[in-house]
Amino acid sequence: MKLFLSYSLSPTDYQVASLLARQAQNKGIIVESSQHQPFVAVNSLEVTRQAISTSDFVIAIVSLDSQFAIHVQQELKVAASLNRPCLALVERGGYPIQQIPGVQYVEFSRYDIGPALAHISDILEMKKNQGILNKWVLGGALALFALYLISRSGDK
Amino acid sequence: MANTSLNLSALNDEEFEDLIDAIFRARMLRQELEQPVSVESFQLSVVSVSRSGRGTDEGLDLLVTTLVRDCIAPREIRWLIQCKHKAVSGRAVSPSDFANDFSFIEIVKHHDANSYLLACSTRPSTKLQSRLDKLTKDNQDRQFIIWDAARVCEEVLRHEELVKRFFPREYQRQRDVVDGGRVRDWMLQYKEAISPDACDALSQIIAIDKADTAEMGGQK
Repeated sequence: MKLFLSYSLSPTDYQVASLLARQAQNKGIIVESSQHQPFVAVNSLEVTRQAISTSDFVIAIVSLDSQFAIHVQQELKVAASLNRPCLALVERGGYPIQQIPGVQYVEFSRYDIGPALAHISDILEMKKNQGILNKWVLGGALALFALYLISRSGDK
Repeated sequence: MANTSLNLSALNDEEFEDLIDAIFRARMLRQELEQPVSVESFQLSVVSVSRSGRGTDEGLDLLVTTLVRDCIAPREIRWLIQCKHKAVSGRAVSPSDFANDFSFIEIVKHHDANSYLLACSTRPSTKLQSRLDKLTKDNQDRQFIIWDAARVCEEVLRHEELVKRFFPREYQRQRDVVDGGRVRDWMLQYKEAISPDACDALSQIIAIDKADTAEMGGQK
């Protein structure tokens, strides 16, 4: 299983991406993720496209006050064009992410995370009814875990 | 300063240099030449890291060589890296923090480098950022880049061993956060929202007692 993690996080949430990737890697999942810095003499989006094309699932996370939401949007477009199963967690009130057909969006508020959890539960239920739950189990699990980590971001 | 979970102000000057050094050593190239181009292979593109000795550094703290590849040929970039640690004062790094006769281009040439990276534990002043941006724009074959505190922290957080070595309290906090018991308590808090399938899914990546997920399942 290979996961592509697309993210734009505020500084207080930086550890969410690393903890999520680490947890997935501990379970034998290969994780590749966004690279926001420009590469010298290399088209980074093409490298990203290659990474997404070989991924089994794409998770995107956009939190408030983050800088790279537009990059995430580009990566979501790539994922949708490649028909990758894709779940995007978008924090309410942030950058207005344009909805792309084929991408499953979940809006969340870190102070009231329940509705987002229920939404992910509903998505898994829908995928189960469509007979494709297997493809979505790990993606759904990692999305739930991401929301857990975000809800714990301010903990000391 | 960026409000991240890492407290850079707890480090002294030498420790901050150690941290920047360690970031690049964690990205040392291993066997990637034999692997297909991937995001991961770009993350591990450092070929060598050398450190200047103590005392006058002539604008050099680290010299890092990275490997860049395209479909024609691989080539090396020698990055001259300078560290500016102002996290204790929280002050932005400005041109006045460099020697009066400091010329970024000259110092890069002097050390036979191709590009320059300023790693700072706060942020650059607008004037300094503009100056380095202009140098990059005017010098097609060289880049003049700044990593601010947020970028430094993001790099550190990619490597668990660095968090453990330089920020042991944050490392312990992160360990506690991902503890299965805490995740279970959180799931119990939201048991009305999380379906049995979602509970089962989460238990595949977090070590949660099966009896606990059974207790939560069916609540929706």
